[in-house]
Amino acid sequence: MSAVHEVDPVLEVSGLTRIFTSQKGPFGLFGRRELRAVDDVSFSVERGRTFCLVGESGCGKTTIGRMVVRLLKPTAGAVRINGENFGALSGERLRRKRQQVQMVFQDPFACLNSRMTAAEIVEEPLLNFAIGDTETRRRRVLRLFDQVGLPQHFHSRLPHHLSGGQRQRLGIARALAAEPSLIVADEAVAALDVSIRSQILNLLKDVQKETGISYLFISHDLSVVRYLADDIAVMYLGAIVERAPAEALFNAPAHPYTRALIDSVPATHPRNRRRRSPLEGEVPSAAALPSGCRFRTRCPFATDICVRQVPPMSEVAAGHFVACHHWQVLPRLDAGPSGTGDSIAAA
Amino acid sequence: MNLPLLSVENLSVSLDAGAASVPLVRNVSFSIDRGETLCLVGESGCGKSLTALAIIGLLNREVMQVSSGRILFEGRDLISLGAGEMRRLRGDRIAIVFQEPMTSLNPVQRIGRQIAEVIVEHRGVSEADALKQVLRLLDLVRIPDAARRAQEFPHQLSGGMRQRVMIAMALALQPALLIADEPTTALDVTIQAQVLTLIDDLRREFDTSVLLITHDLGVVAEMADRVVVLYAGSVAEQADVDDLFDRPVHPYTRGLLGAIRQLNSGSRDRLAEIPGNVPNPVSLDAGCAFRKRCASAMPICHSERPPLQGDGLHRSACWLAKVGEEVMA
Repeated sequence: MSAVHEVDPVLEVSGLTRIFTSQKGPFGLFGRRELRAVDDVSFSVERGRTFCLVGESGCGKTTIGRMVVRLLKPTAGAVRINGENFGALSGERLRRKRQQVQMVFQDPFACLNSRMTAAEIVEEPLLNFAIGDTETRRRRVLRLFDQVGLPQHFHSRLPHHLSGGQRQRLGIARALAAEPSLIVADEAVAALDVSIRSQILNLLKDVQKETGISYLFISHDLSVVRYLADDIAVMYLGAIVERAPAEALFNAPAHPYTRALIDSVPATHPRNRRRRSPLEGEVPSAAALPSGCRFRTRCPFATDICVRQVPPMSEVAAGHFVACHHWQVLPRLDAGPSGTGDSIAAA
Repeated sequence: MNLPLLSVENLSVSLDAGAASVPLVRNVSFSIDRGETLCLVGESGCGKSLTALAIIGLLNREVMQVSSGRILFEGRDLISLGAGEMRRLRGDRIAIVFQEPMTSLNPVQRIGRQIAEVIVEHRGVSEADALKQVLRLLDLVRIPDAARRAQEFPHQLSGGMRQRVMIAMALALQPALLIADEPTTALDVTIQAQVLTLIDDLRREFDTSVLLITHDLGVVAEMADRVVVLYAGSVAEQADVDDLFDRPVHPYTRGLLGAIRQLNSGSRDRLAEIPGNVPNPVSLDAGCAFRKRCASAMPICHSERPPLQGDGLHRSACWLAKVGEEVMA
């Protein structure tokens, strides 16, 4: 399916764990409550490729993104960027490393300084990393405007004079300014209208083609992930439950949760309506994880072993991993009506 | 004669901005039969929520007003109703569920009492009787352990549970029309599927009509009997759901449908784009509101707004459809 490519990871995440603690009762009189937001997560993002972390609210995907860009310190585990341990760096070397990882957020308005002009916003990272003189920076900013499809005469506009799509273009231009090797995009198209979303997805792909940049794309939206991802990790309650090349994940999802997620995507035609909800119940609290498999409380296939033992990661096919005790004996997927019915039927 | 439950006729809503008045909803017409689900679909600012607020009489009267049209509900024109009559109707015959339940729920009152209040207010039963009905309602919307949940406060519930509470409250008096404004937009996909299934089951059980407002054509495909596509305050196209998905006429509808199909097809090809942005309502002129983003725009699109036309059920506001008809003739 996928050609053998040279392994050249831009980002390697290993054993990444983050525990948030909060006090119980006044002044912590009743001890501390631990919330395991991210639990022993490992994956790597290869150069020029797009790795998607997908999952529902509270699954830990955003926490991972924040640890990758060093906005948040891991409780355990390491983040390596271009081979170097990001967490161990300091001083000038940390500053240079920061340049290699940039972030694009869901709501660009919330993270763009509303008093800076569009050009100043894009130029700021160049100043921060002391890149070029005034003239080079000016030219580079205009080139970035071209690259993200913003008209050059927008350079003196303030963020609130831009539409949502234009602000996201600006956010991407700013992220690209320092020529990073990795962009972490957290729900970067979630707030956009459908007609604008396609524009931004095309832009992200164009930029990747031109620059060979890698993306760690964090999203709850399976349709977007399907379109953009080379590799996908599905998260549930702080852990990866399945990891695979995009095509394999959609054509032969091995984890019951992945299947339910794919099945929950609304139909693209009324003929393929689903007549039931694929998954009952709700996600348990991360402060009280179920024993054994964390998905077992909602899993229609759960048995005793799922209560007792944490399922290990099994390799289903080359590069396709799943954390489920029963992946070998799960019923085959039928050509049932679903949002992505065609591909599932073909599996 | 079999009258529709709700019939919106040439509804226009405008914003009073100082001396000027800016039309935000223009000449929107549609009707909903008993037990039917109609989806109003469109992007931010297309006027879909304003249309809903106009129906239920919750427009902010200080800045917005219904500038023309009628809203006939069970034979009465809602626009001419007084505030008191409208309030009696609201909750009783027409109920609404919003996107974010937290903004509609009282954060310091137990949810059981909040729902009971609606019943006591409209039906004049005792609070004890109302609370009994509440437990039945919470069961109905599939909230497990209803007796315990009724004692909880909104912040103790998940987003999905809160939306179920809102639906229970909306259905407390068995309204004839349920308006749901982006009811699942803030929810995760697996929970969205549960809540949509719930709304549809309840519609069937009580023969309630549903006006579902959404930006998501996937939700439309799952839920609608009929669809009204809004663009920049006007109806771009309306049709039965199968017909709309099989034979979209308006370039905007085609663009939106193309976008979700391509994303879900497994293809990695470049996505077809609808270029540009939604126009500012202040800047709308005599031409077609979509023409600047339309690949098929013709000279007439710049000078004249296309009327909504077609056969009785499938209508679109596009000059292209007109040209097509003439070519066929």
